[in-house]
Amino acid sequence: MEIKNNKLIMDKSANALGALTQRLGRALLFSITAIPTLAIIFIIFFITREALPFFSDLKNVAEFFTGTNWRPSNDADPHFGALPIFYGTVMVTVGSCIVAVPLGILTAVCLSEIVSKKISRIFKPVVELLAAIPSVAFGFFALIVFAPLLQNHGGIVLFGAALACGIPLSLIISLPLGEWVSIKILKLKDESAHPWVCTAIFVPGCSLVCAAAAALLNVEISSGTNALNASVILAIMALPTIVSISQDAINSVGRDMREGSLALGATRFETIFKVVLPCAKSGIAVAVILGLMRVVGETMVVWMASGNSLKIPEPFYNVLEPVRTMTATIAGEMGEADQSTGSARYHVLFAMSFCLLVGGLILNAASQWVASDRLKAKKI
Amino acid sequence: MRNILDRSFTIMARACLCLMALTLLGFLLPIIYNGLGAVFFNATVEHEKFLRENLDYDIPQKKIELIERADAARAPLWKMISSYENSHGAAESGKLLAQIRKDVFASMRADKETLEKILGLGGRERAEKLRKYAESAWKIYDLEASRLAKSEISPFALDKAFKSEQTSLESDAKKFASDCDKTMKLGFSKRNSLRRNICLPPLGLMKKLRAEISLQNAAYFELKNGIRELLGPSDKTEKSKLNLLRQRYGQTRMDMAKKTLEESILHINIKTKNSRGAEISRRVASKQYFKNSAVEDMIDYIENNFDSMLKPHFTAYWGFFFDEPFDSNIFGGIWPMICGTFYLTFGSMLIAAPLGIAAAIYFSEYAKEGRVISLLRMCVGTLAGVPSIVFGLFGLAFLINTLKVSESKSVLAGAITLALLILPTIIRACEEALKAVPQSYREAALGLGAGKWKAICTVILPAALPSMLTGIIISMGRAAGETAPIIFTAATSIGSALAISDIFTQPTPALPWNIYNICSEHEMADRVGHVQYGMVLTLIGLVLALNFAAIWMRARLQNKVK
Repeated sequence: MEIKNNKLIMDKSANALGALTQRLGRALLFSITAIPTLAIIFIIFFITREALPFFSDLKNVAEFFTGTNWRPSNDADPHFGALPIFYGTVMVTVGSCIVAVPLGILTAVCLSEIVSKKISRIFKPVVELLAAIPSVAFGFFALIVFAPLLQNHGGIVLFGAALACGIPLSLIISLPLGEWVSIKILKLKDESAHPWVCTAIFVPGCSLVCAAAAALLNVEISSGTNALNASVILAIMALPTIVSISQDAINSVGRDMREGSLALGATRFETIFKVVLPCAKSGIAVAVILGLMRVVGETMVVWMASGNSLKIPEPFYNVLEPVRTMTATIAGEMGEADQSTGSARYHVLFAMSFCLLVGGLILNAASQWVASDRLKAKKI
Repeated sequence: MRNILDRSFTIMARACLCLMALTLLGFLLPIIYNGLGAVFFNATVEHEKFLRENLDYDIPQKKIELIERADAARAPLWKMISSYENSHGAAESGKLLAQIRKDVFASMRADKETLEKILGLGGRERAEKLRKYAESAWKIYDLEASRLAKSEISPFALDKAFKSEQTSLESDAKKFASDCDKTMKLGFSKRNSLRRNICLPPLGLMKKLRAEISLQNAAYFELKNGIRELLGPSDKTEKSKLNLLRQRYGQTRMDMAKKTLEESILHINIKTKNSRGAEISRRVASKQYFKNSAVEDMIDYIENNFDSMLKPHFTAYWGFFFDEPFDSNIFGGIWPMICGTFYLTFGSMLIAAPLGIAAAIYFSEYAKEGRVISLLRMCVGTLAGVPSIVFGLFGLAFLINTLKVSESKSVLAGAITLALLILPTIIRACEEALKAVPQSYREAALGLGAGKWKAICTVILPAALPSMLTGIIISMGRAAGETAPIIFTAATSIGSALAISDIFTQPTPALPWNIYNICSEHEMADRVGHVQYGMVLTLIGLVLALNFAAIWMRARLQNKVK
């Protein structure tokens, strides 16, 4: 500083300016980075603000969660019983999980453990394309292609699906069950007799499945847009998420684990079920939760495919009845409530989306918690 | 034993894989097949007529000749219809009835005394006597009318004759009553009673006869509507009276024309009375119903000359992508929707990409791990998990109702909402891309004397750009296909393509929303099947093209790295 003619030292003012711009630039970048945070805060704030007028009346809240009479547009005598809507959401979500989770995990296992690298590389774009297809296109498919199919040939579709799921399932169950029975109960010494026991279990099991499927053949579906339709299509939508994330999880299981298991004489099936999947279970849990989130938050498919009926199905597990979900209700009714901002209907729909938002946030927190658990476990 | 289990498991897992591929195929194939049908199809001459008259297409001479030949083939049909509707016997018999009517009135005028006597009576008795008098006076007329109803004159023409008789009976009765009023000084109530009762018997008969033939006529009208639906109106004067485009043109597509022939011409709904006398609707084969009448010849003619009246020819209608829609998408193309999707996608990209890249730079280059940063990161993840419909409501409550970025829905509000939706995806993709840049690049840049900012701009960003673009393109695909966020913020079901200057204030039609709309809320959903498929194919094509571009870029990048 003292040597004024030394050009190596920068001008004091330039230095300050540089530091200032650096600071400013950094602050700008930081504020941009904070936009998602701000957005989250704003979303929560505004949804809550619009929902509060409804939630402030406790009688409304009680009816909202337990009532079955949904008539928000009736100004003289409005009813806000949203139980059928919540139930529809749960039903469709559970239904799609039953389809998508086993299928997704199996596909992920197959892609990373069974088929060769080459085939797996070919299939990666298939999964990605399935993920990229817009939800409204799936909704279109459900409404225009799948619903008429269900309505006109419902029995055959159910029959085929029951056979396709039931026979492999009975095979997979009867094999270990037969072995267990022959060792633990019959106490057979001779190993060559085991297959006969398995067959003895498999044949009646299989015929049971066939009988059940044949009973389904006579089922008449009154409306093609129902909970089953929505569940199947939602399952297809959730598949890519589940497959790709659980595949990552499975891939990250160390090679040494697999090799150790195989070296001890386990078959590939045993290795996968007893070593690989338990190791990857938290990753798979994250995959399932993210798939679930996609299903719960999905609007267009359920709006178009679920039938939008305000009744709880009779009996409660009847997936062939039309249902209605929260997202579909919001999308369908807000258009009419929109003009009269401030009406009871407007606020109750915001209350519903508040529930949806809270559900989404909880699921998201769960997934992040599981993921961070996994990271911690890895570090140890 | 364990091997069998192993095998069967392997087979099942492979089956799952195949199932997934089959699902994709089973999903895409019908959409591609039917969607291409919106552009390439077997068109009828009505298609060319529509294009020439509404969209100013230059139709080649060959096709104009085709139209003329088709019109020539239709001429006999129109002739059959008009001769059926105006059959000569009906006009003559109408004249005959009119003559009898005049005679009856003349004789009643001549017979003043009886009338005066009856009118002299009081109240109810007067009305009764008047009715009896009228009954005897109109006997000949009634007989003639009943005979005509059973004759071979077409019910359509007969109905016309009876209708005109009805009106003239009413007006004549009025005139007769006022004439009597003048000569006899009847007063208001007597004149009224005369007017009401003097023509009661023939009017009642006309009503009864018309009700009988109206069932037959309704069936004929049903058939005629079917013919209209198939071929359009018969001539220009009729055409100019019709408002809706769907009434002004026949079926433009051969597949729809065949469906119309089968469903509205060969089979029709007729109304009959059931045993209890209530009207019920029944579906019958029209040839059977109109057996041995002139109508059967019409149906035969249509069936035999179907092709020559419509002149099917294969066509590629590229205008499907570039034309405005007409008459709620029954005619024309989908240009406004494509345009709207384009605006929304690029708008959201212009907002989200710079923000996303900046945030990613901060995360990967500046941020030191700490509580604040992990909170920020967590919020990115949370934002990605918010359901898309909630984004839509947020856009409505915040952007439109609170900030008032526009009066009501607008492209701008929709683009901002979509930008928020895809921001997390972009941030993550860009961060991954920046992290993939080798540390040595940074060190080299800093070592050469570049400042941090300069290193980022000149070295790190260019190195990461291709894989950043991949992520951005994929999220563009997502923005193009999202529906729920734009329902309340940007989308409208009808409208024309917006100019750039309107995007800040006007809502726009957009592919995803219009797909929903045309599938679920269209009044004639069965007439726009090809448009539905065409729109979905366009949207999927757009999104998949973006994704393929991204996949291709990534593959090239991987090769480069190798």
